Amino acid sequence: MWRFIISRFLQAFVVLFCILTITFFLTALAPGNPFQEDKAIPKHILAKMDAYWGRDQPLIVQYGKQMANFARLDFGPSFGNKGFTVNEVIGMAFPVSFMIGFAGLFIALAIGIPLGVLSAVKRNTGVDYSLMSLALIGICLPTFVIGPLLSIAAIKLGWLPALGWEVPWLNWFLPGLTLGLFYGAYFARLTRAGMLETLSQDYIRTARSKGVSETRVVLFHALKGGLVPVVGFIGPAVAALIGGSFVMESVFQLPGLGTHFIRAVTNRDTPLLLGCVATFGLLILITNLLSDILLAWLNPRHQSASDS
Amino acid sequence: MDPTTRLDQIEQGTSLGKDAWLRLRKNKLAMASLILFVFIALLCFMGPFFGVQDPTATHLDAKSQPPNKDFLLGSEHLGRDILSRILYGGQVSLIVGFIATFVSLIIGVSYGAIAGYIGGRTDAIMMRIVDVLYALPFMLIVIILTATFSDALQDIEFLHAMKEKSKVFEPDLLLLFFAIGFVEWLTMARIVRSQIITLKKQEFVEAAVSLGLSHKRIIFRHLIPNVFGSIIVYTTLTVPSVMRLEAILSFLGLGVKPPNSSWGSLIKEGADRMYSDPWLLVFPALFFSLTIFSLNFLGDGLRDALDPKASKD
Amino acid sequence: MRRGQRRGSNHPSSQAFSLIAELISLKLRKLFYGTARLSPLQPRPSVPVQPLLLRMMKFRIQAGLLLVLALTLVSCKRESRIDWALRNKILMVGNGSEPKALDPHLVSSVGDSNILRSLFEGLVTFHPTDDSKNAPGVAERWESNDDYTVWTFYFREDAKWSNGDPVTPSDFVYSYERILSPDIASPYASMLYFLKNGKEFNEEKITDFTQVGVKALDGRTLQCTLRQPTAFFPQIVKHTTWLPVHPPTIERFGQNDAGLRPMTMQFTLWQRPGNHVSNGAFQLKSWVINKSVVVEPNPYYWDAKTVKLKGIHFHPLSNEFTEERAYRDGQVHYTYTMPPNMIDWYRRNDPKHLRLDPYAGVYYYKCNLNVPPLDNVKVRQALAYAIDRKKIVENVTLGGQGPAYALSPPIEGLYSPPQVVKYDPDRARALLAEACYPNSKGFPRIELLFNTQDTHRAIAETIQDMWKKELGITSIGLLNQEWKVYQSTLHDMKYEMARHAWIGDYVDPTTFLDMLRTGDSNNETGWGSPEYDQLLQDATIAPSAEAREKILQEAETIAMTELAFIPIYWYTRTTLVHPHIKNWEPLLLDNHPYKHVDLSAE
Repeated sequence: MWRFIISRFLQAFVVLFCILTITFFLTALAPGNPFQEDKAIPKHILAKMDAYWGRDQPLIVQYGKQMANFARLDFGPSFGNKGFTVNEVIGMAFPVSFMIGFAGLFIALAIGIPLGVLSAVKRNTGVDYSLMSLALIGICLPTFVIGPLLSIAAIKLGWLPALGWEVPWLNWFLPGLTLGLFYGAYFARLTRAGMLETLSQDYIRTARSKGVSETRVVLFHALKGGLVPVVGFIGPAVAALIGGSFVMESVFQLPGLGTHFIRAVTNRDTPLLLGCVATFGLLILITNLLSDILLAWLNPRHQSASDS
Repeated sequence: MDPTTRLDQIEQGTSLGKDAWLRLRKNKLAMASLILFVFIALLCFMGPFFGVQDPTATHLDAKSQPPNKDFLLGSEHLGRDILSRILYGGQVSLIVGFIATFVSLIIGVSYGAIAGYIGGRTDAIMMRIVDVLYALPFMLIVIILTATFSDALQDIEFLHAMKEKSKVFEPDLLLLFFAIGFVEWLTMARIVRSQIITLKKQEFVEAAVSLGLSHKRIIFRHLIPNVFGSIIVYTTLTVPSVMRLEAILSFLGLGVKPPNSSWGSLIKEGADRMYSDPWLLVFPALFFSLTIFSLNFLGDGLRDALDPKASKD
Repeated sequence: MRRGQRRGSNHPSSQAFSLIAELISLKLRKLFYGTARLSPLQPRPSVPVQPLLLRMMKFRIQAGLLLVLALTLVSCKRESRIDWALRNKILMVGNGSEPKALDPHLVSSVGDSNILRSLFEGLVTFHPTDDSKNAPGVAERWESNDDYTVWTFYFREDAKWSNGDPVTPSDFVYSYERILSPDIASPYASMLYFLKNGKEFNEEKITDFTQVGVKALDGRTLQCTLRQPTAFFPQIVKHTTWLPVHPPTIERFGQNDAGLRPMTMQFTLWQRPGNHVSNGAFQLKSWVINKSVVVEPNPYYWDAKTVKLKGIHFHPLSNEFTEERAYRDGQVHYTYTMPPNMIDWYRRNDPKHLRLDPYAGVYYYKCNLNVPPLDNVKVRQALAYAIDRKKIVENVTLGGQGPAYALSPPIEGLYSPPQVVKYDPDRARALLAEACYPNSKGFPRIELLFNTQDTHRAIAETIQDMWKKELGITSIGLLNQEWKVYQSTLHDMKYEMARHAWIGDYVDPTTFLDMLRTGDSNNETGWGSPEYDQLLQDATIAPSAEAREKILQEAETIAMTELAFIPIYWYTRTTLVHPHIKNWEPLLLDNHPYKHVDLSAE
């Protein structure tokens, strides 16, 4: 097990390196100058800006500098947020995204998995159809529909602040709920699918014929297998949840990571983009590692997948 | 066999496919969904031939009206007819949805199955490649693709001809299919891989191996059919995901642009204005939801019909 | 007590509690001992344990009471944020996008200026009711020589920085040198080209700053020598770029190992809360990216007794729909902009919040004169006359904007632009025919460029439609590009026709007309007219305000006949303003001096 984790760590370095390299050269390909503004800037001034930030040097030199920065874990100052370094910008934004993502994950799991299990058990009955319809509504209504709806409801009812991050201990709820409803719907459908697969297996029939109560069969024998497709999905889902969603942050005015990601692209802010991509890449690696471990735990007969 | 059985009552042998179709036919909900879906698709693609208004024509003196006799589903902020925008938008959404889903299905399932089956170092490398692709900033890629290829695409005659014919087809849409397919197959691969890994150790696989079957046969003829259930379910989840991704691209200014429309961009415009003009949201969302609902129940029905163990119930 | 025995009565509440306790202990025993029974030999309870649901049904009264209690608690409204702000005298402002910097020499956008205006004060400051008037700032009075080329500013004694240091003329000399230094690459240093040799210093044609026209005559007097006569110079020094910075702070945080001058370092830590030193009515308290910039009163400000607010929160709400919801939720007193669909809604349902004030800005289409057929003035005129501007502002932008019949908007009491451009489709058609495109036959394909935004697209579509209907032109396409790509295309002059806008920097028509000078960096059309340039030059030495107005009108007539810029509409500020805000008068440049603003419930 520990060999597995360590080897994944080493792989993580390689992966991050690849991600950063590709992203760097992508930004070099993208047209547009990060310092250009709506009001025209005289060419000689633009040249001075490029000189100060090293943009006039050959691409390889810039690339080397950025990789050296990455090795030191210090991405330098941001082009677009002229008062802060990239590390500070991400440091301010990450806890917010993390909190909301976690809240969303918790709500999604709390809603989705029981719904999926119940659906699978009461397959093809009214309960199944109505629960799955509920889940489908969650899938059909994207976050930029549910978000404003909840926001407007909050304005009318006045119980909670409708948006913003002024009062974090109240502000997390609505975005968390929006994400939770949305991902919960996915979890519900995937759990149901996985449960149906597992419930038709032979060992379940064996357990039933042994007289084990149906609840035990479902909860203790089938659930482990039923959660397999969810686990496959949960890796990228958690990374997306915690990495922050630009749409959500735009609707609820959250100072999170998603906005920085998109703005870094829009403003061609290379250091910030590399920082965001590195953070997001790291998140994905960690969540995928955790989900692979979870997969191993759920299925004891399976040796760690990428081990020899 | 009872000697009194008449020859013509002897059951004909059936294939797996025909078996599945018969089971599907019996599932009333799935059949209803199929009919609904076909109806919506026909409406979107054939409707324009039956005299629906021009979706790109603005009528500034009739803007932002709720449904009335001139505009069956209302008009939006520039006076364009919502019904025709929904129908034409449906064409775009359905095409994008299906092509991108199809691409992601083919690539994702094969990739995930192969990775899961082979395991070991190859699996690790394949999954790390997936991780790298997943972490790349998608928006940047779309911007680059659009900026680089937009001009080139405008010059291709074939695409121009298609645009004249269909009123809806934009060369930029091709880029969209590409970009979206590029992202969607990743999660499919992960899900399939996790299922395959679980199944790999089961006895029937050992049996197949000991029978000397080639790996390719094992993967494609034995393992994948057993994960059809999850695949179908996730495919029916991918279609709305693709349409939604397209909507988010419009949110960021990169997807389908007015006067063209897609369900995603219509829903986004409606969501922005839901307080003042709710019908802008309700009708596109209704079409979108009905399509997704029907696809999902159809998918469930298919899942049931194709389940190799279903006949035991 | 043996399991299964209930204490005392069958009262539902005690049953409830013991039930819950039983369940919890069951689970705990299960967890730790793997079995729920206290001992394997213990017999099963004699009283059959009823199904869970049935037992729960027994205390529906309790459940109901609990629900009512929860609902009451939850529906108790918290004190709304607006009331909290009123009580604490905190102004909450929606400020568009996240500020790039809080350093007056590194920014050029309106949102950033709004924040800097609260933090810093220039020689001259803003008047609360009229943007064309001036109020004393750091300078209590000023005077000029006869031909308006030398201006002298007399500082007040009690002007202080937020750390107690006095504000001196050498601070201003330092600041002007900083912004004009090419090394700091200030994007908007061109505002200081009014100073003699300012442009030359910025372009590195001279390197000695003492040759630039600004001098500290003594500890309380600053003298500016200008490049050309400028009667409205006090207007200019109100601008953000002319604000001072605190030299010791800049020097301290600009220390570096690379041997670069501390003054011109492009990135330092001086802008952080705690390091930031400013001389205005407020000082920086906190800055959380994408959440808010918070400023609090500057205790050393010379006019601190006038300041009524105890703080301002600037919220970077960049999504206009979210900003409107924030307003309705009572999280901001003032919005930066408004989504057009809500303008009508507020007009009908809640008009006391809506404010549509004239704003000194113009929205126009630029033509690239290197691209046929736009090189033909008749074509440009035809396109301009075929646009029904009234229809656009009434149906698309919806904010009471003014159809633009010239480039510079009218400024009451100062300037009325000549009425040149109008909606005249017949004339347009005739012009097009004269230009050899009768009924638009043979009109080449050109593209109208705009950056991705709903309103730009809506306007472009409407105008494209108008050109189709009135002139029969179907070969003008719409091209929208992503923000940076659009800027690139525009500034590299790779566009054919492009949408652009300009908000005035000061209250004078030259802030608009100067753009069309030959070779001006904001021109970017390839148009130039020596006659036009000469007229603008003549205006600077005009003997009287009336004479000057006439000359400028003549110049603008030339510009609007040549139509390298085709004006569409003049801006209004469409915003939501909360009734609690007092002393927030409509201002042409929207430069509200925060020291006069108050919050009260009357």
